[in-house]
Amino acid sequence: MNDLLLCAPILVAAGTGILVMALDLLSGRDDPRKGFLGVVTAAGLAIAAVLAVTLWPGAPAFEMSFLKGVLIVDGFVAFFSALVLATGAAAALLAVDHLPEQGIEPGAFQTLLAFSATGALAFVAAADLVTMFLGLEVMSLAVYALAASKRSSGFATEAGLKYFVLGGLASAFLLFGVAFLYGATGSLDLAGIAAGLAGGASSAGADRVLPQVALVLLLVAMGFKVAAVPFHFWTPDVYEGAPTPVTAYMAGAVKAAGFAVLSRLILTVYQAPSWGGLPLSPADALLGLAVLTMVVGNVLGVVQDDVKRILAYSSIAHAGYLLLGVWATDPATRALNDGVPFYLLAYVAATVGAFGVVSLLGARGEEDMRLPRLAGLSKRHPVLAAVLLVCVLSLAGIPPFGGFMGKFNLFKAVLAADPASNVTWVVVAVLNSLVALYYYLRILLYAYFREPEVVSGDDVAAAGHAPAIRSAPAWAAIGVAALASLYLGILPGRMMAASGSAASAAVVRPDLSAALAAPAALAPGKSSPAPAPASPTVSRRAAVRDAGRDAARDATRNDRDAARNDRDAAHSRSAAPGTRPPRPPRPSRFAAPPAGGGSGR
Amino acid sequence: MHALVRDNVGTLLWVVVFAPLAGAIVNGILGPRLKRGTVSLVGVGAPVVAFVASALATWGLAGREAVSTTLFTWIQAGPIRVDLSLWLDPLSAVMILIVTGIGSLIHLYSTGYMHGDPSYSRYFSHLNLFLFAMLLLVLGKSLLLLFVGWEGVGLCSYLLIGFWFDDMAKAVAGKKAFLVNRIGDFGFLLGMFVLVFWMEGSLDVPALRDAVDMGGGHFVPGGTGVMLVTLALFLGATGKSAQIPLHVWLPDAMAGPTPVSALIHAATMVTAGVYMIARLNFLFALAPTTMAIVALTGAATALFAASIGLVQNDIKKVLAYSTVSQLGYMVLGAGVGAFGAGVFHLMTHAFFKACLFLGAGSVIHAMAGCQDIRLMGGLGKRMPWTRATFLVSTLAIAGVPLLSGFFSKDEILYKTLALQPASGPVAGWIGPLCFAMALAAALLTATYMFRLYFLTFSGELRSHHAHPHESPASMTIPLVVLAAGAALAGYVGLPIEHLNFWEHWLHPVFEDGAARFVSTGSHALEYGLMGVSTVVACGGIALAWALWRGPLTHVPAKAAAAAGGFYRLVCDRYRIDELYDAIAIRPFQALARVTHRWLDAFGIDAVLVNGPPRAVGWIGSIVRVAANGDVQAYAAALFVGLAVLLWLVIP
Amino acid sequence: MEARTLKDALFWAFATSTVGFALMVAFHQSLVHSALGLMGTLLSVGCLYGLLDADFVAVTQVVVYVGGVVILFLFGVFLTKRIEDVTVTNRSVNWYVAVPVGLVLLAVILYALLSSPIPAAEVAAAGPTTAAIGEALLGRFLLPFEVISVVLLAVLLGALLLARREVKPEERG
Repeated sequence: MNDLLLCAPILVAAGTGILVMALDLLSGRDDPRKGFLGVVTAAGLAIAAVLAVTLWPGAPAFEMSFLKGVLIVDGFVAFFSALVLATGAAAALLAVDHLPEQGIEPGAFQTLLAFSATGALAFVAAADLVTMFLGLEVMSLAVYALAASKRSSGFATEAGLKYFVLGGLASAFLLFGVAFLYGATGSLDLAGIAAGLAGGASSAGADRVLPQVALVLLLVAMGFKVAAVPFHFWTPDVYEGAPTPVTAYMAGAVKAAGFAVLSRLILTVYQAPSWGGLPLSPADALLGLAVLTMVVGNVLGVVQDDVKRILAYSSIAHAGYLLLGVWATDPATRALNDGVPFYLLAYVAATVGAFGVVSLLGARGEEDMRLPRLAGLSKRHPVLAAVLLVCVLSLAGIPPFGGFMGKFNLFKAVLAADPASNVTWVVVAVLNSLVALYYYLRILLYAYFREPEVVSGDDVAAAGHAPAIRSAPAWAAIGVAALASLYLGILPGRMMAASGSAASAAVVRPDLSAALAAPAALAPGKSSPAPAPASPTVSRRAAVRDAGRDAARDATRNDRDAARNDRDAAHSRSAAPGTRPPRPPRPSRFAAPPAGGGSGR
Repeated sequence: MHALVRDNVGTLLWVVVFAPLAGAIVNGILGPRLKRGTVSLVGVGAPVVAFVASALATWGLAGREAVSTTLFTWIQAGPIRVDLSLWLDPLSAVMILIVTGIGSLIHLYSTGYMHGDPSYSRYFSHLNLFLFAMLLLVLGKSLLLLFVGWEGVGLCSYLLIGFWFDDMAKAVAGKKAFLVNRIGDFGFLLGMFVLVFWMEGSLDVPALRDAVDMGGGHFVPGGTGVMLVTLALFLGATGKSAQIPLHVWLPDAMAGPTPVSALIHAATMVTAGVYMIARLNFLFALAPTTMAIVALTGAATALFAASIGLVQNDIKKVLAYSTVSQLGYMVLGAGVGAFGAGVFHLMTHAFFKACLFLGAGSVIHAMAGCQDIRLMGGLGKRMPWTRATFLVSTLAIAGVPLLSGFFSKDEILYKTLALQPASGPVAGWIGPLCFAMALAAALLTATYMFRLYFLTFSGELRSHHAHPHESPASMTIPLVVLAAGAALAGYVGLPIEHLNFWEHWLHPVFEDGAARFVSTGSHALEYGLMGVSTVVACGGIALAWALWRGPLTHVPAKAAAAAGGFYRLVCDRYRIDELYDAIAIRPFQALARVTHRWLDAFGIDAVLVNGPPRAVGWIGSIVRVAANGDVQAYAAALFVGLAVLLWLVIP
Repeated sequence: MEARTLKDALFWAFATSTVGFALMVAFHQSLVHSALGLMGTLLSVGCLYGLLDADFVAVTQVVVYVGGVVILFLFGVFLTKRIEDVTVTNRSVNWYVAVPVGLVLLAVILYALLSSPIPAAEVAAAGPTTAAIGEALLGRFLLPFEVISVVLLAVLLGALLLARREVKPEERG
């Protein structure tokens, strides 16, 4: 029963999709009340988000065998799930009045949105690579279709197709990486792989190649999802071509989910910053991606003339800052850099708000969002212009908005991780923020200081008394986004605390230490270094286990850990150094029931 | 009943702070659409509610040292933690009573004074906002919150001085007030930064006090560090409380509506500096050198401003210099360790100076905007209520016995002579010197105030255009209440051992600070000084009568002619503004012009601002060729990226 | 020893045919031929599965992919009108980039695979695997299995959304 309760957010999200599908079928084809579907979707996803943040932080592990090794629920998952779900809800609200204007069928659209969010939940909460891959596919497939959903536009179709083809490639990379990891460690669940990698840490360099190649493949796949350079090329085309609510969803939810899983992979599986004892630190690769991403994103943002493309490059640049944050893990705590979740939150709020404004403006069958179309916005739609102002300034990182607090916090944490050597990269990031200011302020320049160019009589009429844009759901969404940007900037305390606890939960550590340390070391709060079974590196890691972790939670995990312990300990022994004897017979992948702990789960 | 209030002091404090904010928001947003009556109701109702809540809270506080209430954690960054907490102790209780009480009266007065103004709701919105900021300043538990209020009152002061911003001179006056205050704020900030380091993150006043009580660390009596920090903080007080050398903004601030001058630039905001010193008395008392500087600054300001007040002809300017002078007394009081006396004078001054300003407002109202006392005269017959209340307050400020100003000023004079720092290398001549200056200032005060009174209310009307009339009841009622306060407020602090309710009430706040001073005075000295001040006050009044009302009316002109250059120097306010203009503003402007031309226009605009975007844009336009929309090229990029990463990672 | 050699020979044969058919899919000018090439690829992979004693997977591969998907594909190609008119080619293959990058990747992956000891899976007992797969799907992998249903539903809906006739405003009334 407890397990089902813990599954509730995922079930509610999936149920929302099915409910919307049913409601769509029940209502007539041309029912004018289809907008209701979007509200239902938003409500469902919002409920799921609330459930996630209430149920998951500090939750006990699953009891049922088919959930135990498949899903993790903790503060980290709760934070990112809530972010994803909230973004999904906002996109659904934005779409309510956007869809009819663009001639998009609302029923299938909203259902797919709900399913995509469900997939993202599974993606974020996955404890093994199979679930992770499937979650990614549910999330992505739905978004491919959503991106192409505006059938009257060749642009949108092209966007969907591009995203689909390249996304398929990225998924293939991920799958390739998964296969390599399985090949290298014989395990599919994150903690098991981590233990496997750590267990082999002491062996010679050559056989460490496979996990490294796997890591690169995973990095590429995740880099694609979060739009890191050079895997970003699709981003501006797709962001521009897709219906704007979908763009908001991609820029917010997909990116957040991507970063969540990237952090999990890097921290739990590869145990950054020690990287599981791999000979050459992949940190350089990650750092390279981060710097390249922010530089290219910002430089290309400067030369754009279309608001959606500018925001697309802005989202690329933000991925760069976030990658820097993911890269700079504090060696002392080994937790995720605690600036990352907050930064993501502030970024998502601002970006959803900005795209929401664009969505409201484009809701007349017209999605050409070149900068001059913003001219005179402050006079035509003062409130909309104000929301744009808040969100864009927040993206630019100007106080008192959330983006500033996010950047400040993130850069501070990056510095704290290694004050001496990270200074360079923080300076690079700050210089990048300065470059970014140029294109952010350009948006505001047009919105606030340019008069609309009068071309014809119609335009004069349009400029003079623009009809008020009526869409209560969309207004609610952008209103919340703008208020959130303000709230995060002025009263960041509460959310910073949430960010910190989410970050500290990013590493699934009890499993690892259970695998590496003697069972006695499992006692809650006790962090005695185990009598190094495999290598000194490993025991040091076990020693820095976060002693502040919830004791009750550790206790409930103990039996699971113990079960896994047997198997993993056996594995560590098998990977002992020396002349590399032929490995003991391993279970075939499906042919025979796996021996040892594997079958127990 | 008392128990109920006692348990809910925290809630009452939030009411005190947020009632004015609510009023400001309502009038600020809805104001232009509301009826005038509704605006008045909200605008006056908010401070009245705050006053009632303040009174109840003070009642509930009685018998306890302090009450603290926390709304939420505002900032939590590493060891630095700032809660949004309010802190009510006897000192802040007194202050909120003054602020909300006098504030309510002035709001009421404003409904009459600002009756015809087109920006009526904006006025009340700003005035309420000012109250909010001032109450935050007074009640903030953390120095940082105090500073937020400090900046908030500065902002409101700026907004209200420049209330009629279409008059360029008034807008400039607002700007001047703001900029001069920034200099002081810089000192305040600097002091706070150092304290944050010393305190490892907490800026709460009680925590600071505990740390000082514990001693050790940086908090050594007479230590250089403490001296520098307190000097920096005092620079902040100098700006806010218009002490030499940062006094120049206050006379110009009279450009705002007269009730604003009464509330902000006489009764409340300008006393914030004194309040801050009193709040941190335990810290200031550690630094005898700072205290000597504080005392000298106060005494010098008192004398210096009084001398200017003697030759001003604008009714509000006279009162402005009088305010600067009286603030000098308060700072002097704080500087000699008589914190209670300083705050006592703050309180009595709030009554009589608010009354004087409102009376001046009534006169200006009656004279249809004319402020030159040379054109007035004989108004007493036409405006009996204004005259009577003005007279009471003038007597009070002059220090005539049995009125409030007498008790508070005398207390400061006495303690200036009597108190000595218990430790530290402070020369013995400082006390007597300050005393002499303060006594001279007292004489001048009586003289210039009665010069003002005689020129305004006695004799015959010298202007032929004005048709003065008594002001409406909404303006005279506050005058009467304030005049009553001006007459009677002194009796809470009678200089008699068991009847000095004031000292007793404030004792817990100031005991630490006061403990670092020893009294060398005696009752004989105290009562003797009373006699001296009585003589001085009466002498000043007599002098004023003789010179401007009585037989010697031809003397001032002759004396002015005889003094020649010195007279003109005083008339030009010692040309301090011109001095600043020559030594600071002009070189700065020249520097600004040079930097504008070479650094800004060329270096920054052309090279740094427009250069990088152009360069970036140029690079971007090359790089964007890669984003040509071709999916295969994108896929190729994916593979190239993969290959490069592999090359990086594979050993 | 004999069996080993035979198995190796078969493996190499099927591996070669897999790659050859895959090349045909990628480079043949005609869609029909590409589809046939796909069929050959999938069939060869199925044979590889069989060679690895994965009977269930091999059969599924042949039945579902070769028998179902590819045949459907061919039908689609045949039945779609005027598809012969469209020159479906891979003309824009960017040889200069693709070939070196492909070769480099191939080299790296081969290097990685060859230099890493893949734990060799000993086939415990050659026998039917269906039951084990069923158990795995309804036990350890139940949730992923369920997620697959959501994948399929999402794909179906996506197809619906994209394939549905466009609703034009004038057709509404």
